[in-house]
Formats: sequence, C-alpha cells, structure tokens
Amino acid sequence: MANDDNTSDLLESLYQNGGNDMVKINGTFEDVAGMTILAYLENANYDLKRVVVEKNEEIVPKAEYENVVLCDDDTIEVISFVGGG
Amino acid sequence: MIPTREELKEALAAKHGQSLQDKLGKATVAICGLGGLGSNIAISLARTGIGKLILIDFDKVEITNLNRQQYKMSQLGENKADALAINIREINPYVELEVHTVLITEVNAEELLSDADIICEAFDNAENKAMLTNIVLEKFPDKYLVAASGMASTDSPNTIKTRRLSSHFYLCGDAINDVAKVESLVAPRVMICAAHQAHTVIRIISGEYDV
Repeated sequence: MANDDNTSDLLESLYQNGGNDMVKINGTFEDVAGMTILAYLENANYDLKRVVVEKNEEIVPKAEYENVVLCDDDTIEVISFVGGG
Repeated sequence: MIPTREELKEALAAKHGQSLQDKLGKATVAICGLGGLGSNIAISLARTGIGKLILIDFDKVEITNLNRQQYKMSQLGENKADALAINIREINPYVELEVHTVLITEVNAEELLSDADIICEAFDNAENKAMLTNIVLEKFPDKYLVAASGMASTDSPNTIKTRRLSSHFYLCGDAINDVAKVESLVAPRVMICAAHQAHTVIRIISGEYDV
C-alpha cells in the first residue's frame, strides 16, 4: 500500500509541475522551497496563534518556525483551528 | 439497588465483546475542556465502561451551555468538572474519575496529562485548541491526541469527518465552520463531532488505528 501511495504521489507531482520538485502543503504543490515556515505562514495570512504545523508527519515546535526552511519534497500540513465546542 | 460492578461488566461485555471490554477497562483518557464536545465525549466513554477519565475544565455551568452540553438546569453555577463527575457517576459509578477544576496551560499540562493513554482536545476557543495540540504533540509523542475543529453551523452533518494527520494525531470536524463566523452551534452537530472523537478513542483502544 505504502509503495502504491508513494508512486501515485510521485506521478501526481510529475504531472502537476512538469517534474520540478515542490513542497506539498495541505495536499497542494507549492513553489515555496527556501522559505522558512514562519515566512510561509505569514505570507499565506495564517493566524499564528491558531496553527499547528507538521512537517513530514512530525510536529514542528512553534519556536522553530523561524528556523525551519521548507525543502523540495517536504510534505507540510498546516492545521488552522476554528472555534466552537 | 444499583447493579454491582461485576453485573455491569458482564452487561457491557455482552454488548461490546469481551476482548474490547477488557481493553476499555484498562484505558485512561484525559478530556481537556468539558463543554459541548468534552461533556458528550466523557458520557459516551463512561457508558462504555472505560477504566479512567481525567476530567479537566476551569469553567462553571452557564445557561448558554444547556443547549448542547450534558448538564442540568439544577447545576447552573457549579464547576463543570464536578457537575459532570456527578452525572457520570449516575450513569456508571464504576468509572474511575480524576477531576481537575483548573485552566490547562503550558505550565501544568504535563502534570495533568501524564497518566493518560489518549488525550481529547475539547476546547471551544481556537487559540486554546492550537496551544494544547502543540503542547501534546511536542511533549507527549507517544500518547494519542484526538482533537476537533469545525462543528458550528447547520451545514450537512456529513461534512464532519475524522482525519489521521500523523501516527498519533487525529482531527475531527469539518475544519471550516468557525463559531465566530456562523450563528449557530447546535447540539446534534456538536454531538456528531464529539461522537467522532469518542469513537476514535474506542478504535485506538481496540487497536484499529486507521480512519
């Protein structure tokens, strides 16, 4: 299963960006390699107090947002919580 | 006469299966926030015969809680954690309860949550949700976290889903509807989200980790 997923991810990546590597963020390929997570979040207008960021399925501590640089082939999940409970 | 512990155990095993019942009876679940999500999660899990619940909320029962939270009019003004403990004991007196009437912060989270196998994030405020999720994922990589985001509005119930974002992190809800931007926060939709969380807890306990 894992291999099939990787293969289909790779094919999707090749299809979407002509073979150039990109950063996958919340399922979408974006040309943002080289940016820090902090710069990416600010640029995309995220409210930093509401977000949780995972990089390649590992939590990125908030204190590291300004140090962690996005690289090609990274998979990033930005969870922006909404209120209610 | 209320049934004995053994009588209830037998009845629960008859409905759940002995193997699952044995696992449920050994599990400890922390519920952070005892509002619309947390009070419903807690009662669902208490009904299963879960081993131990850690109930945490600093707040008191208000009249605006009664539309969706598992409190009674007679409990207005009481601490939610104490009131919920009483309600749970009426349903299942054999669940071990640890009750904390405190605000969870970065300072006390480790101490409050260290005994839990699984942690439910059940706050209402988005910033608190993110804070707790960050703390748990950073400090307790081996515990399971079941969080929630997006259950306000009268949108379709079918947009509420459970996602597994990483090996120990599940997120339930529609991910979109913010109570600050829509008018309504109604019992069934909140309870659907709470049920997703409670059921995810049961699946983790049972060893079924996919979604």
